[in-house]
Amino acid sequence: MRSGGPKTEAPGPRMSVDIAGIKLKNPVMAASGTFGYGEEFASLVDLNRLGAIITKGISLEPMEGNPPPRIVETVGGMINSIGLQNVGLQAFVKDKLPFLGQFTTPLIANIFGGTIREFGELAKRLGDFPGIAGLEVNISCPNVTKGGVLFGADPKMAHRVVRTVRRSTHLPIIVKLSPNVTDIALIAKAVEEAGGDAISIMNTLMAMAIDPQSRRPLLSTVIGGLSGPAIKPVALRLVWQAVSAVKVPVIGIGGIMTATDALEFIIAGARAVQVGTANFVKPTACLEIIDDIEAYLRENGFEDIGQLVGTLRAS
Amino acid sequence: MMVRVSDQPFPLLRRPFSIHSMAALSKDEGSDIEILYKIAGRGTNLMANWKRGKKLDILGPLGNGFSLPTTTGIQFLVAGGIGVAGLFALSQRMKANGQTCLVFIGGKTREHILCVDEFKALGADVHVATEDGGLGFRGMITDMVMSYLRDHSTPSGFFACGPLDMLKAIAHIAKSQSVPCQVSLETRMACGLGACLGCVIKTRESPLLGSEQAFGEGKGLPYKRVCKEGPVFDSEEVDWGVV
Repeated sequence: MRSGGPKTEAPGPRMSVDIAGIKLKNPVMAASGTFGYGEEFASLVDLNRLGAIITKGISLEPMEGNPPPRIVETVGGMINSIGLQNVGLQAFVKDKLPFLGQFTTPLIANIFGGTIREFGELAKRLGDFPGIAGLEVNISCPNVTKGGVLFGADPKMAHRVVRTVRRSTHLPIIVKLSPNVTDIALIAKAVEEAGGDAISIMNTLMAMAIDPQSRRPLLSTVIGGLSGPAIKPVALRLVWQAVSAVKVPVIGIGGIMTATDALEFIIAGARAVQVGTANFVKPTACLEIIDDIEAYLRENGFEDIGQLVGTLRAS
Repeated sequence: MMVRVSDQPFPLLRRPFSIHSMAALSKDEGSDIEILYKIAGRGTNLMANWKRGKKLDILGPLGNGFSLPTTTGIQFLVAGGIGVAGLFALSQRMKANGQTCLVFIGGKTREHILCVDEFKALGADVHVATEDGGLGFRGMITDMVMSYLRDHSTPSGFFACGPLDMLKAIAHIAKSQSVPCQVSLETRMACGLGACLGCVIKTRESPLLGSEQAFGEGKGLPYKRVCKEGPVFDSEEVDWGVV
């Protein structure tokens, strides 16, 4: 059942969620790095229908990214090594933000720093723009030599980054964690203690692929980050482990292609989800997932999406 | 265009193709689009088994195309192997514009030479080279272009589509003749919409273009998206040492 049906129908289930004060129309967001700055998808997708848009990672200065080849398809997914190519803070604010400001969908800026100081500086400067509803702090990129997963793999470093960002902004802070850690609960707790308002799990899994004919790696950087349906079970497990460790909301990310995938994360305890690689395959993936989650709620007698969160019948 | 080849998790990503030819049907039916492809891997293998009448999920048209020459005079279209796929629609448009083109097609053997009759039907002169000499000139298509230029006058422009080494060689020939050259590039792509930044090539500032135009996504950044700023680039814009 699609939304906006005949008026005689009973009101649909409530899809809106509140993540650390960010009011989302529904729990489905477009994940960082898979949706550009919105404009790339605007001719194909009604951006006003999305729960939130998370920008491509923004750094203080423009970053040129890694040399090609940067992507390779694998079974049930793809490995990327983009290396955070982005226009930098100044160009983002000048060239990208005005376009995104036209929509009612909350905009969450994904920020990346090579140093702790840079994270603080980005958070401080982005706080000046009313079009930004929140920050997602990327301490989990596997494709950069400075910062990235180096911050996200160590609870002490993660704590320091988040504490610095916390002191630099009043915006809600979502911290995006890496799956490439031994104990996600430890990192999640450190981030919560440092003042993170929400946690998004997960970034890509470190991975590689080889061409046996040439015996060369299929990515210029040899190692990249795996995304797509292949990683969903891993992401789901990490979300499950994190929700029992922290009180702040957890956002599920990893291989979500359909509403069924999204529902799994929500049942495991995620308050919202992000859709990533699916946007590449089907630009309207988020919209279909929103409609189908709503249909599931309706068919199963839920009045509010919140009633479903963390309802896994585990024992 | 980005073509969805499967609704299964593998192969997951759409496959990029150029529009091979366009034929107007009627006012109501729009136009007919042809894709010419080589069976190269899992995706194209699936496509080869598609039956007539299958409904396709295609995103497009995406990116740019060749810019039609504004100068009069003969244009050289140089194709390597399946590269003919990216040049036929251009020759159709050139013909419609009353421009003359000379087509060079190269391949490993005569089985690799496609579309000779189609180009001829458009009134183009076609020259063929095969590496084994099975058809036309024996050798690389770039050698053939070089030898042709020894006895003939320089063209007004080059348009090339094919393997990277061939494009690089054509770019070099064009530069040595001080003639503009447009190349259509192929890279691995995920979205085709400019979002994933997976398909980039390294560029340098072209003396022929303003720097603003030469560097699309993020001025001063060297990597450009083949799906968005391309697939056609001015050969002077491409950093051939890195692509």
